[in-house]
Formats: sequence, C-alpha cells, structure tokens
Amino acid sequence: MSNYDRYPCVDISSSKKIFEFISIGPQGNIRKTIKFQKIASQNVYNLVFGNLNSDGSIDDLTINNNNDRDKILFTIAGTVFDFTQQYPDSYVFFRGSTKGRTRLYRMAITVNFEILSLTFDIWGFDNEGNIEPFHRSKDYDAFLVRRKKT
Amino acid sequence: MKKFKKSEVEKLLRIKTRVNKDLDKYEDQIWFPEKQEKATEILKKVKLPK
Repeated sequence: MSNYDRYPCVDISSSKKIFEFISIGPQGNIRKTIKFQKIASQNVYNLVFGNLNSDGSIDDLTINNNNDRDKILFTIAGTVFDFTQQYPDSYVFFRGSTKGRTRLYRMAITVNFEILSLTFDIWGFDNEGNIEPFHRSKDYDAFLVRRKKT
Repeated sequence: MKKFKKSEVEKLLRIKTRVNKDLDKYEDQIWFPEKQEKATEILKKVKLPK
C-alpha cells in the first residue's frame, strides 16, 4: 500500500453507505463490497467488507489471491474518505475478520500514517478495549477513524 | 519520503463513484451480525474521543 494505486470507479448505493468494486486479477473478476453499518445509539459506523456472492450472501474469509491486496486496501481507504465526506461527523470502526487481517490493517495504516493522518483522526483499541490515538509501533485489536475537522 | 499536502492526499483518496440502485436492497440487512455485536461491545466500554 505504498504506490497509492486504487480501483478508479466504485458503485455506490443511494444512501452512500454501500460501495462495490470489481477486483481484477489472475483469479478473475471478483465483486468486493464495503458496507458502513450504523452501531445502534452511537454516531459510529462499522465498516464491513467482503466478497459479494451471486446469491447475495457476503463472505469475508475467502482468500482470493488476486494479487491486488494493496490496491484493495487503498480503494477501501477511498471509500472511507468518500463516506466521511457524506457523513463528516461520523466515526468509522473497523477490525479484521482474523487477527492476521487486523494486523494487515495496522500495517497499512502504519505505512501510510503520514498521509492518512492529514485527513483522518485515527485511534486504536488495545486488547483490553482501551482506546488511544494510533501509535505506529503498537498492536491493536480494532480501529476508529473520523474525518479531521477543517 | 515525499511530504504531502492535505489537498494532494485528498486527490489520492478521492474515488469516482456512480450510484447503483441495485445495492439499495442490502441497506436494511445487517451483514455479519456477530461483528456488529462485537463492535457494539467494544464501543460500549469507551467514551468516544472528541
């Protein structure tokens, strides 16, 4: 996630809370969907992400090996940017479906912290559930971001 | 490492979107309810930062 390559065009629902794009690679074309789901009674949206299957089900555990991991991550960052443009006071919460994926998100934030922190406030949740401003050298269990106030 | 300006970062992050009303049918669904519950549980314990 260092060359800032991303999928250029993303479909979006009318509410601008669901995004979809096609991952293109050696395994074929795969529908990837991102949904921002509101957490009851809080101004926080849970970012969920996975493959949208033809029967309408969503799957977040399949490993596609489509050689576009970084491009997907930067596209997801783009959807968070777009979402927080529409809902600027909202927080976005996310964590991986596995510990490995949570670690991947942490690495992606770390590598791109200089640029992401210009646009977003970023916090991490440690394993005890405590929240703190994101530190590049620490492991986290989950993350929270919000568009910086201009 | 190149120092970016905020406007440059926004240009990097901005994606082109087009509305696809087919996606609206998923609006009322909760995907991964167990994840939603876990997120709620984690957030319940903290005060959101200002």
